[in-house]
Amino acid sequence: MQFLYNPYILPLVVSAVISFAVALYAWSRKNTPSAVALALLGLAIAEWSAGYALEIAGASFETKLLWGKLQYIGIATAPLFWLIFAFNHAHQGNRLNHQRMFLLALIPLITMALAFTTELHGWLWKEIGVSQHGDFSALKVSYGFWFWIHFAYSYLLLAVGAWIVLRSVGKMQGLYRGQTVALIVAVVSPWVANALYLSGNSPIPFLDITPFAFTLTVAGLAWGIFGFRLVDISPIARSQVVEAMRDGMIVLDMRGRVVDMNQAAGLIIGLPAAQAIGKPVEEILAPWPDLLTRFRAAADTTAEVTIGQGAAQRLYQVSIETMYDARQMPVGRVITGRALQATVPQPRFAAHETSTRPVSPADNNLRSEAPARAGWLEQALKFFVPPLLPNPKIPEGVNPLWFQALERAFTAMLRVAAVAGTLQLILIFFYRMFSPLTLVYAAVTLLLWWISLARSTSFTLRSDVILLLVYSLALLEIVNYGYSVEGFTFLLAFVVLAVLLRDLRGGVLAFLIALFTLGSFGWQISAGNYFLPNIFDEDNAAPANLQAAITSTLAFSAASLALIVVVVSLLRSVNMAWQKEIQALNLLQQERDLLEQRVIERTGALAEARDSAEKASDELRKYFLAIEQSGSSIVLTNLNGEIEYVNPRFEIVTGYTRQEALGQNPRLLKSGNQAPKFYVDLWNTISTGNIWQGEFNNRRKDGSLYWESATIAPVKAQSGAVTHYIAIKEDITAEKQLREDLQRKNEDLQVSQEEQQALAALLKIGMEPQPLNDLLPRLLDEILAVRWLGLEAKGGIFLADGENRRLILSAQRNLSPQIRGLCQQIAFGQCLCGRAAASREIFFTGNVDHQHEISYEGMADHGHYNVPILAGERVLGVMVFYLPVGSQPVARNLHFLQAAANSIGSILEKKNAETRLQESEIRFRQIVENASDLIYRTDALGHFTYANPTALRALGFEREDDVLGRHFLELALPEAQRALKRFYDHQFLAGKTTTYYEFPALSADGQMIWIGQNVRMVQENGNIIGFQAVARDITTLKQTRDALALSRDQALEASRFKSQLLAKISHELRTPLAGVIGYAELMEQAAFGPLNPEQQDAAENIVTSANYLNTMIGELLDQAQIESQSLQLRQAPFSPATLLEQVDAILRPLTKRKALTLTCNLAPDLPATLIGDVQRLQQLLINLAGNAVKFTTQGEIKIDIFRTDATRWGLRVADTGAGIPEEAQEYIFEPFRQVDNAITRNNRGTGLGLSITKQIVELMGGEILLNSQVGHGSIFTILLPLKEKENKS
Amino acid sequence: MTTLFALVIEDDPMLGKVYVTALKSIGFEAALDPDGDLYPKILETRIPNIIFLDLHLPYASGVEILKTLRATPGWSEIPIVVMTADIITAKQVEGQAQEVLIKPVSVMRIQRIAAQLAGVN
Repeated sequence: MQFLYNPYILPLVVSAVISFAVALYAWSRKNTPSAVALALLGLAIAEWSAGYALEIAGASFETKLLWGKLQYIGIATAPLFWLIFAFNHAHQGNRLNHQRMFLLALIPLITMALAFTTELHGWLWKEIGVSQHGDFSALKVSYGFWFWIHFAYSYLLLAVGAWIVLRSVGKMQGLYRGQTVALIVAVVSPWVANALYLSGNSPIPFLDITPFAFTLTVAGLAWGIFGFRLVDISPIARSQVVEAMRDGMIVLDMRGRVVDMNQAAGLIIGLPAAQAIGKPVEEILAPWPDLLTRFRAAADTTAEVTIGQGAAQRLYQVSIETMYDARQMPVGRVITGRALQATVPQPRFAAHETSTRPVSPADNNLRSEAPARAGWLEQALKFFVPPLLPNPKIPEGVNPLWFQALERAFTAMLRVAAVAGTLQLILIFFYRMFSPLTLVYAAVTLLLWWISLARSTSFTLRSDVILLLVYSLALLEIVNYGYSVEGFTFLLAFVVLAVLLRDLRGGVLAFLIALFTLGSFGWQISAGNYFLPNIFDEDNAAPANLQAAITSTLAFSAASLALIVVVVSLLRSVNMAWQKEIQALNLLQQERDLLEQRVIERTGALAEARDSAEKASDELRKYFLAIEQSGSSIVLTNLNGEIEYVNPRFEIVTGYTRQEALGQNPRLLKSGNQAPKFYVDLWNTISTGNIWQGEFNNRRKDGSLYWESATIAPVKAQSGAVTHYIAIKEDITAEKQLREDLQRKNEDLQVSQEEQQALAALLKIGMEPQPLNDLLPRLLDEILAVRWLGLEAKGGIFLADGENRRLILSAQRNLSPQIRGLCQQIAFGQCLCGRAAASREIFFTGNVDHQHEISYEGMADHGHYNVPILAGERVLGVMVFYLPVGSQPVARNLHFLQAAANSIGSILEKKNAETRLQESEIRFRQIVENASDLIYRTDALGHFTYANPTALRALGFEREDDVLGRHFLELALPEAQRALKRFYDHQFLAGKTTTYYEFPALSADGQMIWIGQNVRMVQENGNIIGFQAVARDITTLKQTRDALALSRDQALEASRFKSQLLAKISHELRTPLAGVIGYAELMEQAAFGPLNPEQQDAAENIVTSANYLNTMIGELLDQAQIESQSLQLRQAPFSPATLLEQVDAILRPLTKRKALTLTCNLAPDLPATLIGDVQRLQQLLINLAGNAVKFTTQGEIKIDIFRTDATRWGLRVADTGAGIPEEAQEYIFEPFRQVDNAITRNNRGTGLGLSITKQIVELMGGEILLNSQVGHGSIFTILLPLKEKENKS
Repeated sequence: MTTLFALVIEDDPMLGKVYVTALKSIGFEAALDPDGDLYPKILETRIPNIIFLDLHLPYASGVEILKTLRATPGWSEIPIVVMTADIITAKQVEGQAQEVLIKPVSVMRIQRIAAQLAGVN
């Protein structure tokens, strides 16, 4: 195949390039429905233009014919793609379905097939030749019948497409309208040109101007796209809103057909949108008959449904909404499905995978039976359509799913090729057409089999083999036939496969190889250096000359590069989709994290809300407690009068329990003693929102009657509406009783209204709070003022002194001074008043007679009423009134006076009680006021109601008024208030009667004092009415305590420091000493060479002196430790026998040296194991026994360990030494004391040994005894408490 | 390797020399770690039959060394004699070593203990 340059091809190439660019641009927007069609339309036009260009450029007839035929790919399909584009563009979201597209594509497909085979039948082109006009040469054909079918069909499609677009122009607005007009101009113009050409009216007679008009098309399209962003706006919006939705969305029209559906919905129902659109919803939802029946007629509803089974099971929230058009007429329904728990979005291709398809029971059965029936057909199918490779090695940056699909397609293709190759080999074998090539065929076929079957082999290797094979075929063709069609095709395939199977780099490399191959052959052939073996016609030798070679190579380059671009952009868009998917997954993850974060925050906020709610409920609880403990009955009723709440007091007063009262009407308490009108008034008052006050006569559960003073108030909600009624009631039965009793009594006495008034006046006076002594004269005056009694305006009141049975004149009016003096005190029975008191009856006399025992000179004659004042049988006093001489007793007056006396009696009683109370209060008050403790009281809420002077003083107040009413918390130091409040809240709520608490208080003058207080809850009838505190200023105590604690800490610290110091001294002293002793001993042992006797002696002396020094250091440290009280004794089990053995081992060399006998004895009744500090015990024994050895010149040393009784054991060291004088025995245990203070060479020592021994023994809780006689030796005995190991059983 | 091997961990150079000499004189091979940081290397080359350990060391705490020795497999069985002049710390480690001796310690005592403990092993 060779081409020659021709100026006509330039506009065609430009047209092809622009169309191709438009196609690529549209392809990059392929998510929108019309973009794919537009891209295909662009491709078709590009192909047509390119094909026509190559036809014109083709050097030979064959080349021209080939490209003439190839153009029909574009010519036949362009109208179809136009129609599809027009349809999709005009009907957004309502694409042509595949079936219809296939029907429409039938004629173009046939046209293409006929074009390629036209020499055989002549249906498309009858006669084919070449027309030559100067430089321009093209095919010249006459058309067959099918051409006209194709022609008519193409124009029909064009017209329909144009009509659709035109119709939509009316609906479109603004931008879209201009866009569409541009489109129509762009598309229609080439066909006008085409019509001109075919009708012979072309401006250039021999040239088909159609492709030139395509430049217009493309320019129009480009203008439409770049000017109006043709495919950008509404389609993209749909893509972003609908297609990208995670929620599945299906749009149904009113007949229930699927009008639109997004990708997510396709995934949910397992059916791609393209297959579902246009179908009745019954069909696509057939696997879920229950859903259909449930939602068939549903409109505007939301429900949760489960779709799928097993691992593919998902829970969806499905909502159905009706869509309305602008006139509010229903036009369809939108079904949206939202996955409730599935979080991983599935890729688009997965819609075809069975795993996401919902599994119906029928499917299940099929699946389980399938493997059993897998026959040869399935096997064959599986061979040609192999499954996806499960775990391929995927190059970096490549979408694994794409890679798998590619590998599968590759494998399938190779298998087909291998089978075909095998069949061909069989044919060759069958027809015996062997040639040298047969072997090559066989080898290639074998290679194909290997590559197609060995799927686990590296994909790179397999693709390389194939690429090599294809390249070999191309090379074979070129070597044999020059620029043949097959050679070109193979090279193009080589380049495309290289891009597809490898990558862009591989493609470019392949392209360069192909270019090099073509270039070098073209150059050599055209230069005549290489002769094609199978071409004998020199003229037709390809390429004919250098120009043809270059043009052809350039044509090849353009085609290759275009293909590379196509494949690369395809791969890129696949990878982009994949990247987007990953991004979406990441985004989803982020959102989930964010959500979790929010959940955590929200939980925190909820916890806070709960805390504050709890706090609020605490406050409520206090109010509630106040109501619960109120001394009044409290009843809450609703508007119907049903009781909703009663407090405990109600239960006590009425005898009804809460359970019995709830839900009842308060009228259950009605006694029936009050008129119906009373209740009607009550109801009228409260139902109009007013407060009613009055008295009830009610009946208890036990039937007894009682009186209540009640306040009933409506309870209003915030809106002002009455929701409840609350009644607060006091039991006033006793008061009422008193009033009624009096009334009855007076009625009994048949007193008149006047009398009653008089008596009421008396009672009124009696209710006044003044002291009795002030009231009595007024009472007296009140009686004297009753005119109808006919009394003289003088009289008196005696109060009885019950113990001494005498009367004391307590009030008088107008009595003569003599009487006042004489009658100051009168014994019971003396005179008239005394008689009245003794007899407890009213005395009447008309004249002064013998009974009037007290009289004075010049006393005028007169009569008397002497009225005893009684309280039951007790005489409280006597009233005396004067009457004119000769008065007669009047019954009414007697009655009245008796009644008045009764009244005064009750007043006296009351006043007496008050006085007694006051007296006792005063008494206690005195105690309290003079107490050295702080005493104060608060009410139930904590406000001061009393504080004694001590408390005032301590708290820095001058007067009681300064503190009354204040809250006790105010006195505490601010930082202590919380704890204080918590403490007493707790006491209040827990009902603890008494508590003790210490807290820092702030006195009024700013001093901080510590107060320790006993608080007692004051209760009355089970209700808390206040708190009473007896407190003490414990500031000094506290300070002392703190100071003590501090000094204890300091002492402990000092002791610890001393211990450390001692340890340090011990270390610093002993370490060098260790060196001294060590070296001396080594010398002594002749470790540094033999010593002469003097040196030997010196070494021994060093050792002895150093050892002595060591002992002394040890003792000094011990003493220091004891003094600093840092000596710690160990309490561990030890064996007395071992102790004795060790002591024996240490002492025996010493006694041996002095020729003393050493005897050690262990008492058999001692336990085998004791508890104690064995090292200190050993030290004690060595100390004592060492002394014994030191001071004993002959005889024996005896050591005993023995048991004295059940609780004690002992150590005894006895010697036969010099003994200790009696006077020395007293100080021998003191530090630094030795007998006679004599330090000699023989007995030198620190003088601490015995002292330390004694102190350690005492630390052990034992004692040390000494028994010694000068000349007879000494016995030291240590007695210790016996601590045995605890018996484990 | 029939000779017995003793490791002395002692920072006082005088005492270190005394102990090593004393041990050598009764037929031990003896190594000295003067700072308390060499002993792991010595232990890696040869496991001693006995270790004499001082508690006050410039670069390590004797108590820690004792713990390490007792906790390390392969070393935990080595008899250890603690020798210290610090009577307080000495009390704390009692029971963790075969012997706890208060300095000064008689050379003969060291020799006796070495023979006794190393001989047992």
